[in-house]
Amino acid sequence: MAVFARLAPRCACPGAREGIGGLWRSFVSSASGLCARHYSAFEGGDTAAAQPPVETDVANLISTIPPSRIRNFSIVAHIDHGKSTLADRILEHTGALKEALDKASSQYLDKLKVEKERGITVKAQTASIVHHVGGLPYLLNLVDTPGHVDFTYEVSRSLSACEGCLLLVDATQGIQAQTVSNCLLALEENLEIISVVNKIDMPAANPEEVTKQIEDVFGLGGEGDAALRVSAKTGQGVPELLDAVVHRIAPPETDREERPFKALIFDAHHDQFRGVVCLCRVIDGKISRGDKIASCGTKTELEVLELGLMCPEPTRTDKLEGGQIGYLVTGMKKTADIRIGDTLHKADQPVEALAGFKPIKSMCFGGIFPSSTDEYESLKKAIEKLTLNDSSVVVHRESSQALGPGFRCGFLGLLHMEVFLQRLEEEFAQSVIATKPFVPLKVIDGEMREKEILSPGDWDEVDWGRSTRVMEPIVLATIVCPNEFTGKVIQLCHDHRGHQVDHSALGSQRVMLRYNLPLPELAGDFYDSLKGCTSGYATLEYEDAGHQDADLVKLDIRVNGETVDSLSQVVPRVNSYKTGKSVVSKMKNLLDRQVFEVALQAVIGNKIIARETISAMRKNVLAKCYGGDVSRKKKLLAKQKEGKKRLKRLGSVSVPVDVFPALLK
Amino acid sequence: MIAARRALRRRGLLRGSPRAETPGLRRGAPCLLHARGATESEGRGENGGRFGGKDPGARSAYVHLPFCKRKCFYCDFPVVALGSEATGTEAEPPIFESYVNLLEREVGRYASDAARGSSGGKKLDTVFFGGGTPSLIPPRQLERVLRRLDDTFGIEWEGAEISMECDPGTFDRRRLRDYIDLGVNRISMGVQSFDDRLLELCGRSHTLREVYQAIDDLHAASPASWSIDLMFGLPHQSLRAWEKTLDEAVAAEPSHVSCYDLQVEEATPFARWYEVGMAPLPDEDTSAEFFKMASRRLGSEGYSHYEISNYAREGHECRHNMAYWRNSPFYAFGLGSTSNLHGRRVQRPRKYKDYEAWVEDHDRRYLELEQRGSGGEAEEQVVLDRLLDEVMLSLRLKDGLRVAGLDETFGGCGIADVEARIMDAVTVHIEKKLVLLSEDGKSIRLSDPEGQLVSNSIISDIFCKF
Repeated sequence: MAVFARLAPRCACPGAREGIGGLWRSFVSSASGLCARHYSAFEGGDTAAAQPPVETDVANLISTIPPSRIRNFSIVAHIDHGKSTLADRILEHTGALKEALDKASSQYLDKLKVEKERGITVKAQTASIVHHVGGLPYLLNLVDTPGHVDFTYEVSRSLSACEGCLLLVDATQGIQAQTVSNCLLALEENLEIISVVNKIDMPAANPEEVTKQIEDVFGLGGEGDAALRVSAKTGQGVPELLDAVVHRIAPPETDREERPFKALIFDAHHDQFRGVVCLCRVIDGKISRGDKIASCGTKTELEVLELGLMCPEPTRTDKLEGGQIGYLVTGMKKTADIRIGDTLHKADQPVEALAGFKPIKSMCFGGIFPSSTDEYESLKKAIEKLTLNDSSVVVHRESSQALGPGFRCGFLGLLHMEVFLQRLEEEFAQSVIATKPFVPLKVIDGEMREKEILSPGDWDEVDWGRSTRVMEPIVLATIVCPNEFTGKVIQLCHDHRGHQVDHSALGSQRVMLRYNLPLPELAGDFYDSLKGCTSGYATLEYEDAGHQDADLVKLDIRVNGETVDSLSQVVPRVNSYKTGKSVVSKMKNLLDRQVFEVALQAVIGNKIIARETISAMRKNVLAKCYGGDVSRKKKLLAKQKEGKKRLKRLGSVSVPVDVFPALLK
Repeated sequence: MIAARRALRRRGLLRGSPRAETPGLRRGAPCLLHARGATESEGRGENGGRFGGKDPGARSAYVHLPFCKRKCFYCDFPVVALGSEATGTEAEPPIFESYVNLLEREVGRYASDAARGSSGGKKLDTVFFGGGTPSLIPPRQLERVLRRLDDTFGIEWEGAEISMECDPGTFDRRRLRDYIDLGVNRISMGVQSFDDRLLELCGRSHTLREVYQAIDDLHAASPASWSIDLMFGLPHQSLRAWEKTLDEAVAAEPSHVSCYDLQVEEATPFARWYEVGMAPLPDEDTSAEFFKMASRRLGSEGYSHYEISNYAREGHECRHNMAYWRNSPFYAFGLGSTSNLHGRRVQRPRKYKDYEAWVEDHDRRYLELEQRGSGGEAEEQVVLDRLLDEVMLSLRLKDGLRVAGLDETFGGCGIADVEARIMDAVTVHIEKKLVLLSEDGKSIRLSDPEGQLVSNSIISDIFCKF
């Protein structure tokens, strides 16, 4: 399993690499049993959660602000460039938060443990705040966006709820891969972009250079819209920033009176007391408690049970109107019933759907198994709970000969899968074994019939003909790194079947490379290798770029002649021998010797391409065993027994559970 | 003095305890009878209670004599090192006297048992003096211990096996005769290796010359049975060196040979110096070869491989050790020793001071133990432990484990399908000929040498089923 998780690389710091090994270790050591608090603002407190939010002065004030004094905006940035800190400062400055945040509780909007740990935002949050300019109150809706690559679609929906965005760049780091991709998304949505250079209080800050980069790369800046300079940490420049939001970003175009109610759902989460809570941007018209609504996508009629504003705590109001951003509760039980990007309307007043809606599509699949079969039920419950809040995960049952009963889950991407696994472990204390992510492939036969392959097991069901084509998804990857690593990065991309699309300088120190890469290549150790060969300095971001023909083969692993299903993989033909060899030799190193000889073979079709033999264990310790030794000896054997009880079977061979992560990597 | 000892022995012979005896439990009796039956037949004394009292099934006693000239580099036994001057011929270190006093006290705790209403136990059939280096103990002191054992339990002088460990360089012919006169009839001599360099590397306090001298003395004194203890898998030990050691051992014509695989124990100098499987310790394959070579060589010389580490001429198997492997109850006395009475193993403290306090506090400790025991320790766990002990110990023996009948024995105690579970665990091993099924199909044993070499793996596979 690999990943992109560490797309949250803590940027320039080479020491910040957190290998997948680390993640697995944390899986095994689990235990914290951290409760699943903070799915949403609603679930924050224990008793508070049960109580409905109440109207406040702020909410009352907001309801009086006309659309011309509303500004909807979001912040886009590379990881750790200070987005969450800036959001905290903005909330403080506008008085939305009563007290300044201390370090421990900082980053108000990043609520999940995994978000704080990795510095990424998994679930977007939103806040409505009031800022006074020229004595007039303005309503600023800050729409937070998920901060990682797999949620590009959600990011684009969040951005489409805004008229403008802040492009935040770290003055010590300059433009990074994610800055580029997010900025491109914002440009696609035709947003007004305010570039902001952050961390100007740092000794290493170089705002001039970074400002120039922004001009060079994005063509932003110049008279009247020069990059703002702030320090999110100290709050320096934040008031000016808010003024700029008011002055430079257009108010929403809306018609509250004449046009029917129409709203964009840009986020939804599950609340244990209310069911599904949707965050939406009201485009036109208004909606009140008790109204009947429906969505263009599902047509299901629903009653609005509660609505309100995020101030930033959910605050109940009587109505939501054009230009506003708020939440709706309709009594839906599962987030799967709601589709991000869908358009809401009154049940009796259908409207034309907003553009840009896309159904969810799994970009990678992974098998998830309990590390001990008697934990199946608790894993099932945990997955059910977690998917309540993340409807983008597709879950099927699966049973593996080696790993027993488990699940096959589809994810939006590799990081999404990794974050999901981490949350299973941290929030639900599940100890799981996950297979290597599998990127779905398309197989097209002679009659142009398309079949999707979702796991290596599906490969066997393909009726191969002369003209059968296999297509694999590719991505356009953006890599930013210091000049001196360019050669290594190019070599790495080449080794991973990449094709260069762009190679340009980012100022004098750094370079931006863009490559078309097969997505399956990223499911391996690509990211680790990239970080490794650039001393941790490279940043990576990627986006969908369709499919391309691929010459792939299925590689099976046999243990004493038996094929082990969970170890099968589909690999490029050119690398198949190398991969086969490395898999069996890795297995040889990982597996303990058995009391009999074990033959490991890598097989393509019926052809054995690599083999290793683990010789039989020759001898245990044959200690003497007299009166006083009996208890000690038995303890030793009992310990071995505990180890063995946690064994899984690979064919005829017993293997401790903890070798699986490495084996399946 | 010798005459007095002879007299003692005669007295023992003559005395033939008149005490009433509870019928001992037959071996293989239903599991709980061993633990529970004893309780019922014995009742509870007011002080020691049943755990502190005699076990009617126990016919063996182990006595630990912890003194050594120096501690060997691999040894993690409770040992009191006296320095190399403490040979048997020098003046007697005062600690012997005080230690034997302690032993007398500990043994004596069982003496008043009859007075407390216990029906007592059977006479001892085996006594084993282990160490340490028991041969450092002057015969006078050994006599005191034997006398106390005889007074307390009675020793079945006619036919009892009385073993004693002796190390070369700590005894002479005369001293050996003294021990034999006291009743010792089996000597187990810790030779370890017929290679001076290896003896030195192991920190042994004797030389090869002393080994040959000791063998001559043994032939002269001629105890009924004697054994040579050897070790393999020592640092820098080659297969050739081991072959030579086996040759020399066979040439000495002992009635019994023990071959121990070196185990690197924590907190020993060996553990600090060496890593298992790495030079200068042998790798796994060589280590296995040592074992096979011993099995082959001693087998061809007419020694029966009756237990994983033990070989004997017919009739010279160590009965005391067989009691351990047959999971029979036994008494134990002395520093760090472990007794197995009333279905419970109890280890005495390994430190001298703690042991002293333990003897002092003997009755109270047993009472506590009993209260804890009757305080709801899961009966099923006790039974399961007993079953696993039986599996583990029986499979070390040539005769193996009698599987048939285990359902009957343990089924009533809440452990179902014992036989099926065991057979299920060993099916794969039977296929690979690591485990052999007896002709009547009722017993299993480990094959010699292949199965024995991986005994832990096989036994823990069986443990997994419970």
